[in-house]
Amino acid sequence: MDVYFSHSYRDLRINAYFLEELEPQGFKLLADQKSTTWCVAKLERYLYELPGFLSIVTHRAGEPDALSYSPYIGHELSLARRARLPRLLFVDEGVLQRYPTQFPQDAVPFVPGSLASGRFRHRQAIENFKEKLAREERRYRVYKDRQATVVAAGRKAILQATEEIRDILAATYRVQVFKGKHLVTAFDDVSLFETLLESEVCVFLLDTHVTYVDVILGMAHAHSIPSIRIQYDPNATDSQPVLSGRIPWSKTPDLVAQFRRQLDSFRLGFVEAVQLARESGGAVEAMRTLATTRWDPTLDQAWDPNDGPGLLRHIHPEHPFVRDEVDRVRRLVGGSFAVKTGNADSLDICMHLYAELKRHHLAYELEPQTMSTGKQAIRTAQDILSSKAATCIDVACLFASLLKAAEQSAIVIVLQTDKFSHALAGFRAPNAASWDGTPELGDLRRDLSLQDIVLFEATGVLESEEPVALETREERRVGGKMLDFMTARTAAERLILSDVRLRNVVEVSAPVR
Amino acid sequence: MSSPAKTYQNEMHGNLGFFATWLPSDSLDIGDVGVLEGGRFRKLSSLTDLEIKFSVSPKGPPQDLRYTSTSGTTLTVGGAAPVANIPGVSAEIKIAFSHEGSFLFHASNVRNAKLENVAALCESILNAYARGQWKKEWYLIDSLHTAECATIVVTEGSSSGLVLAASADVSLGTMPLADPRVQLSVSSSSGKMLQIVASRNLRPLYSCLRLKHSWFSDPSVAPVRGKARATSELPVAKPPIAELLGS
Repeated sequence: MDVYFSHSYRDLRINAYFLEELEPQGFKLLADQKSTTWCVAKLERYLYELPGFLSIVTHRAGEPDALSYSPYIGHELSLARRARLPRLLFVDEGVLQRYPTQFPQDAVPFVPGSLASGRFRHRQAIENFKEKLAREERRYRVYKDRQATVVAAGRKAILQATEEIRDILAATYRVQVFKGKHLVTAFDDVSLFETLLESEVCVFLLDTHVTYVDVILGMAHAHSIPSIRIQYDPNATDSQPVLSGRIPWSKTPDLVAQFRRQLDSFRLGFVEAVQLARESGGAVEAMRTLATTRWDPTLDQAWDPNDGPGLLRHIHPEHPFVRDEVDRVRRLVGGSFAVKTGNADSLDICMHLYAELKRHHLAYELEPQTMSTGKQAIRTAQDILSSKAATCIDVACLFASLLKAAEQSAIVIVLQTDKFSHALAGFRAPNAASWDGTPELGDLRRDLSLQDIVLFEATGVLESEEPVALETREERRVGGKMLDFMTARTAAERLILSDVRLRNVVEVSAPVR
Repeated sequence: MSSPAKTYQNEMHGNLGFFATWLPSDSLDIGDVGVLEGGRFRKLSSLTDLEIKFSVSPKGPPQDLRYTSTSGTTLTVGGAAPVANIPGVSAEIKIAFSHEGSFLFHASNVRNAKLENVAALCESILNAYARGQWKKEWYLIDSLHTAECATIVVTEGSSSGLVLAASADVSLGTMPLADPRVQLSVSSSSGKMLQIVASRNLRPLYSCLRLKHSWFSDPSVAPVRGKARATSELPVAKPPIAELLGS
């Protein structure tokens, strides 16, 4: 019994609990492998093609004291309700109490800290859902395989972009394009409507203002026809899709790149979670695999772990995100970094940067699976923001970028134990002498004890239910899956003083003033 | 310097990052100025002698340090029962070494202090260098550990051993070799070794600074940016352990 499995990638333990409850009932849970591309057309496709929708809505710490949940799950639920799909929703009790009107009456609450306390109720809901699916007549969306329809507004720039879109589609699809006078009779032209219904995918190129293209998109939306929504916006600085799936654009090359990503994502299949659990040795591992971002790194994102100095290529203090964060911290510490020359000043700056990064509620995840042998890909700040996730080396390099931009001497170190390699971030105190040559582990231990360097567990700003290195599970729990800065320092010192080998050290000196 | 001493210094540096004082009973002070010779810091002058003002941080919190060489050292503490025919002795402690360079380092109430405001001090050192009063090959002790009580044994032979008699009014804790309340005396020893047993107020670990070599070879033009921190990088560096071992 196949169902669409909507869940938050971060809550491995909760997802694994429900996966284990669903598996004996014969469910097959089809889920989207985490990726950096938000493709609403793909969701529409699977929501219509699958007979049921199952969602686990966990709470997500947002702004201070706010109890929120993923807006992406919210949008999936909205699409499922629009498609009138039989559904089963398990919702965090706190979220349900806070947002009662955002969920249908049949939502089943769960207590995240005590999942087993609701086990009987959960099993009953799963059995009822199973019976409902067995009773319902299976719907099938009838469409012509490899048929694509493009509907475009009449602005010159849009028509030029339409040609690019048509060419990309034509490599795989039979393409029909509707534009100009064809659109005026949209309401009366049933053949246009039927073409939309019969298409595997539709692409809508919207203008800045409402046109007939919006009307036709409305028809497609109401019928849950998989649609890629592209909107011309002369003020758009990039072409990242927003929650509704709308892709703003102003430059054709940006649009073309984003459209290719959308199409690639649309054509990728979902992953079956139950099967994955059997293959990967357990529900938690299956959920971890699903939660690892599918990502094809470029060549310049690859790093050879034997090439310590090569890490410098992954430190980008000039990145706009880095500059924004550092500007915010500059204001918080009261102005120019040039006069902040004491050790306490540097610590203060670092703690502010740490706190700022925590606000983004990024997740810890393993490196992407599509790796060439012997190389590890390191995400840029943009990649981290897109995937809302990072590895230890990603976030250590990001901290190095932030610290360097904040005029500090940033340090990234990579340590190796018998079981894992791990990266830490830190900085050299302004009043401390530097190393002459490549430091050894003992040098780091000395400088830590003299407080000449400060190292911290960079993944402390990332959400993780499990310890990433030598912090404890309790420290993660107390910190709401993250670590406060002092705990992150203690965890780093614990690691440095343990039985580790020093693999790489990179220091990015503060600018000469 | 003998190879066993190098092993001791190298491993202690790996553990803690500080240079192990050689000979361990040498009395060093923060602000001492000198050279490294044969793995030993040889004092030539001091900041005080050179009339360079400096300040030292308060001592850090006390900690016990306990290290042995990665292989070749066996420590056996006998029972608390009195040892026959030796009145007042409550335990026998045997230390056996099976490799050249094996060592034992037990130190209690170790506290660290260091030079403060190194950036300002650097300016004075550079001035002294300009006046010809400071040599670029000099090292400055910038931090020092003092131990209330320490036992340090470094063996120079491939097989050696030491038997210590311990007496105390209190039960032997986890650090009897560095417990100031425990009276230790050597009952017997075999093989060649350097031994410092239950010595008070040792200064077993230090770190030092020296002027950077690049400071002399890479003249640069200072950017015109006002008074605030002329450069973010100090003209001094921490020498790597290789410099001590190769001295």
